[in-house]
Amino acid sequence: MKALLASAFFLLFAARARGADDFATVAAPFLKKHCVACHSEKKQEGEVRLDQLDAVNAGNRNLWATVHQKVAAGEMPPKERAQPADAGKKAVLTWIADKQRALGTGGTRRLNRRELSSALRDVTGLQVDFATGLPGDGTVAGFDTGADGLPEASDAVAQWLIVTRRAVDGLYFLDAPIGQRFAMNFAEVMDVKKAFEAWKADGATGKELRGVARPGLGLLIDPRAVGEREEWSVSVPAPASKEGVLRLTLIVSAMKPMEGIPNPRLWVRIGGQDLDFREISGTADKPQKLVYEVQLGDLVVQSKGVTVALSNKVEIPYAVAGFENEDKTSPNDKNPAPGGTGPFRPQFDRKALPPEKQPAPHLVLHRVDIEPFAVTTWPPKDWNANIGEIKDDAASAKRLLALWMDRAWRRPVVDAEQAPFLKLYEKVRADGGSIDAALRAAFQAVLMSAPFRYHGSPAHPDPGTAQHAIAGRLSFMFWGEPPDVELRALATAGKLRDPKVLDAQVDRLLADPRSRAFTRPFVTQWLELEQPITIAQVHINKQAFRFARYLKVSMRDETLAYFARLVADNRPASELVASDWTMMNDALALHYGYEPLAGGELRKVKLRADDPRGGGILGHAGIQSMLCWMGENWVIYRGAWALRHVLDIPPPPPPLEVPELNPSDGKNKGKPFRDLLKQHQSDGRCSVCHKNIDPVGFAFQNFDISGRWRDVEHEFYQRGELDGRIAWAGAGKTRPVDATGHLPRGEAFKTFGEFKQLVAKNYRDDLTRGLMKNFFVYGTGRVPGIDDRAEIAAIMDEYREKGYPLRDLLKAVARSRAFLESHPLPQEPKPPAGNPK
Amino acid sequence: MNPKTHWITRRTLLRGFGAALALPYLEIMGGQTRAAESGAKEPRRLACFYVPGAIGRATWFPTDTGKDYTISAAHKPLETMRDEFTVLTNLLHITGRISGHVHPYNWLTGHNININPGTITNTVSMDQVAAKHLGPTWVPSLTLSFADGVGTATLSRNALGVDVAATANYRTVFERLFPPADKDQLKEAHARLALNKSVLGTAGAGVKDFQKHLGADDKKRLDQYLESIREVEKRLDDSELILDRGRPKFDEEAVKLVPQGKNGMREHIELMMDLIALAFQTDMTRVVTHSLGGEGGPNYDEYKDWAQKAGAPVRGAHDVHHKAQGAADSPEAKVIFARDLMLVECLARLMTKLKGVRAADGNLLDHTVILFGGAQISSHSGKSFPTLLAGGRKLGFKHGQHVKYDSEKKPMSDLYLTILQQLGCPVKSFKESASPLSEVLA
Repeated sequence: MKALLASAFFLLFAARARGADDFATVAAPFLKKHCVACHSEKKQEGEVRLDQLDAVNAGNRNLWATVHQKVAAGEMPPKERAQPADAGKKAVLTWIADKQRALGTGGTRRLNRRELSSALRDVTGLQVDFATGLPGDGTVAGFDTGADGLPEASDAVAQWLIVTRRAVDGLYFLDAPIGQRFAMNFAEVMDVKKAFEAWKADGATGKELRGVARPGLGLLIDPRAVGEREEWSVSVPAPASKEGVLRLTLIVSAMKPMEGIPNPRLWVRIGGQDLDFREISGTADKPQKLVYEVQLGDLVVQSKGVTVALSNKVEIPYAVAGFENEDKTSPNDKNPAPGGTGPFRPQFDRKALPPEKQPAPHLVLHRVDIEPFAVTTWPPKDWNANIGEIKDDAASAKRLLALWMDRAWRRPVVDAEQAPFLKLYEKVRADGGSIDAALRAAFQAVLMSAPFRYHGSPAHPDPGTAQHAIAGRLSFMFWGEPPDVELRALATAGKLRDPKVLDAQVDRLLADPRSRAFTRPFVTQWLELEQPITIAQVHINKQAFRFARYLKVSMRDETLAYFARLVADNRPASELVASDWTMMNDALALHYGYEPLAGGELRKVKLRADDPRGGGILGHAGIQSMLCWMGENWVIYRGAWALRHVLDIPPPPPPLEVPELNPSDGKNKGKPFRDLLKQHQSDGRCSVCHKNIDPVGFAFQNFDISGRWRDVEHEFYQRGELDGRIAWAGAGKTRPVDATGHLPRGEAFKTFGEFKQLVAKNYRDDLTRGLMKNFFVYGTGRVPGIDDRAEIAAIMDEYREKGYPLRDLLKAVARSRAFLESHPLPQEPKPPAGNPK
Repeated sequence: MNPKTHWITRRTLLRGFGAALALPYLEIMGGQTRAAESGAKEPRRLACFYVPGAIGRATWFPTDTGKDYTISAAHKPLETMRDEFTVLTNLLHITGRISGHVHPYNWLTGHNININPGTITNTVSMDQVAAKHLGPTWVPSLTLSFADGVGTATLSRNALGVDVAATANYRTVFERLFPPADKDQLKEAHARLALNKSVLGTAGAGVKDFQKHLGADDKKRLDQYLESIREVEKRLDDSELILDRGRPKFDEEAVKLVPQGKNGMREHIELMMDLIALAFQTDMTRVVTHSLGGEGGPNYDEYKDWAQKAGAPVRGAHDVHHKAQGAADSPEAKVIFARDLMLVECLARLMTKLKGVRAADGNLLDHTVILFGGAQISSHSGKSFPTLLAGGRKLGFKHGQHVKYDSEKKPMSDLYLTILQQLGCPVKSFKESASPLSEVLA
């Protein structure tokens, strides 16, 4: 091993010694001889041009990595072409790998938008969503964690200056002013009107406080459907600066007097912004406490102040014994949904029945506490920071600044590092600023500094700094936030390269509910779940539109929860596509036609043996529906998506000059899509890719536009509009669904079930390789280079027999050299001592 | 900046209350722009005006096209300035086609806001793209409206697609428009700028340390951060220069900030347009959006007069928009025609004003692009936007024509791209744009 390393160094050294010209002598002749015939301006096979390729640099490293991969695997040059001699091939491959190592990892990056927001929350102790004020991020391979997608621009930095100023302006150290407060305990309120008068005397405005008083309990807010405007609302005066933090504290519960009534859903809107949609399941004796903190600068502040609005929405159809249901479906509907649209909700007279007798969920507001100018003293009490007594003196300021820097930089900070910030503090003091004002300036400068804005490098030459960088990398990957006390202690003890310690930490991080900040962004970006879910607007009609928001959220959450559960249970990778269970809640049970479930929480449900969808993400309604949004060509979209995200055999992007296939267009109208695609596959320009895409896409023909199973399909679909939204309606004759096709390596299938079994069996390696690459990008901030690909292959070899259990794979990622950046960095290679043996 | 701070003295304000006479704008600063006064290159400007609801189809559109088209009845007030404007017909948002009262959301963005039911998403509006590139000015852009607030009251959305709040208050606009005259406030503004610079200076100084141990590729990224910090510092310097330059000298007492009537549409629009002309001339901002009315109100006093004159029942703005169709001689069509005519008169008045101000090269109108139009030819139809494009002849625009495109084919975004490019913004596309509209370019 030692000898191997030494010789690698020797080679490297030798390569560097040859100087810059080796591109011209080693690589260029190879490209010219074997590549550019197909990959140059004239004939850009696969959208790849190699005629302009230069020596390896930051801008083209990924393209060179692809060249390396294809040549090393023997895929390129193609078999029918002249093959390079082994020695020449080896020389080029070695040259590419060496050059790439010499560039460094290229993974150093700033925190992205989500991370900046969570790091600001962490250091300030405020529960504000700071991301509102920040620009969005670019992506690398679909992920917001890629270094190349996180460039710096003056606009973003100018915005960052404003966001950090607002963040520190909310903090007080010595004398915190006392802000206004609008608090009410509704259990003690007999007369809502009178109670509101007291608030009005303090400057609150509004027509009335909606709701029915129930002394001893609270205020009852009646349920409304989505689209109805009635809400509990009040405007409270804002400070003249229109800046600062508004805190809203609610104590709420649900009142459901009869069987069959769903939980109420609370919608919270402050200053024109929707802050929360949440199911309320607390009871009168065990109510829920909810706290919201928002920055006035992110909201609409009108002359009357900030409006706080609450409403109680019913977002799921239900029925209660003894009451007729409203049913707004028309018997004349041309395209009734398979299984019907279902009931809406019980009909009753709101005026005739008291809330306790209504077949509807009421939201009980026990207490409301609005602080339009909430003042926070720093450090937060729950840190239990051992900071001593804070006085208006330099020693106190130094201690506070040290604590802030330690937290903000996510590592211990030495005096010399603190000095420039202390100097700024002193400057502001000298100019006549208060201790609070001077500390805020110094704190803001810390937030603008590189160690806050950038992730540390695990390859840092100082082992302590490197250890803390690993702690940050683990924490941001699995929790989306800065490291906690335990990780920091392990970093300080220097234990974060120990595989056993790492395994235990990954287990701990993934078991914590905070790991949702890993599964949600990771899965959403891996599977491109941000595309809109279609749901055929026509068949659900106006009444079901009221449920669409919640149903769509649930459809997406099914996939997220399914992945999280696979990881939690350490299930094999093949269960991503084939299993006998899924995650369901009330909305999904209704959508899939299962026995009703109560409540919005997703839980593991064993699928019916006769359910043709079976388990696995490919049968999730959210995914199949979202792949229809662009139009009727969903066979293509679904096929391309499955190849790209699941099978890891991505089709290249369509060439620009190729027109889109429009099935509703004149001569195409009425023809089965399969026939259209045959023309399409016989056209030379299209067939290159579509011979792989289309046959896979047919596997999903049993899914309708809302992602539900169907056995018949329409001849064609018409684009229509409903209230300005795109709607697709089936038209013409119906016929049985034909889901036959074949996989990229030729395996034929007749049904969706057969397709899934084949994928689980024959494409398990492809699927896992794709997933591993995505884990690497997400965790390391860069597209896997040549060494990383080799490491992925090695990890796969290790876990192949066990069937690639997912949590084990994640642990292997955290232990990898790529993640820990534990390569000896070849920046300044020293020639090995003595003779290499 | 803090809009609540009273940056003009109480004395000025009190005088402002009493001043009822229209300001002789030609007189301020010697009837010329700041650039003309100082010999600098004339900056480029953009003003977008949104016409709510529908227009009277029978009277809005010219019947023929091309250079020698016959001016339509609704555009008569512009007859003497025929060569200063173009009528564009059949532009629309193709992928962003929406319907109903939500048009102000996407008139300038082209985004389909209905992608997720229950929530509204949006993207950056054209004016904010311009504002990003046209500065630096004291106020990056002015967002004016018939009502305070966001949603359908404003036309502007920031880079994240978030509403930029609009104001309908003349005094608020006036206060925000100029750097403080008051000594204490000036000091405060200077202090904030200085503090921001110290913060950036302290933070930037450490970047080199952080870079020390990184590979070449990673070093570059930190260089970029350092450069960005330097650019922001430069911007703060620019703001400081504007502060130092101070408040432009003109007769502030003559600026009319209080309307005589209570609820007049014409008066509201004219007061705002006068402030726009003032802002452009003094170069305090270069970008303005102004929503001239709501889809469903306010029901200005004029609606009553128009109805009575036309012999139509008195209706609110919403119903007037809905009843706008029909033959030119129907009472309903006469009402909407009266409104259209009044709006175009306001436009003509503004254009005349800008033409009367000398610029470094030509007049102020030559350096100002005016987009004036709506998103519906009849209520709830987003298929053809009534559009007038005016001014900007020194920015490469050519006018005096009616250009009619094929129905439902040409994206409005093409026009937005054209405008942005002529304003000198380095953009290659806007939303669904394919290419600039060569028809309006000289």
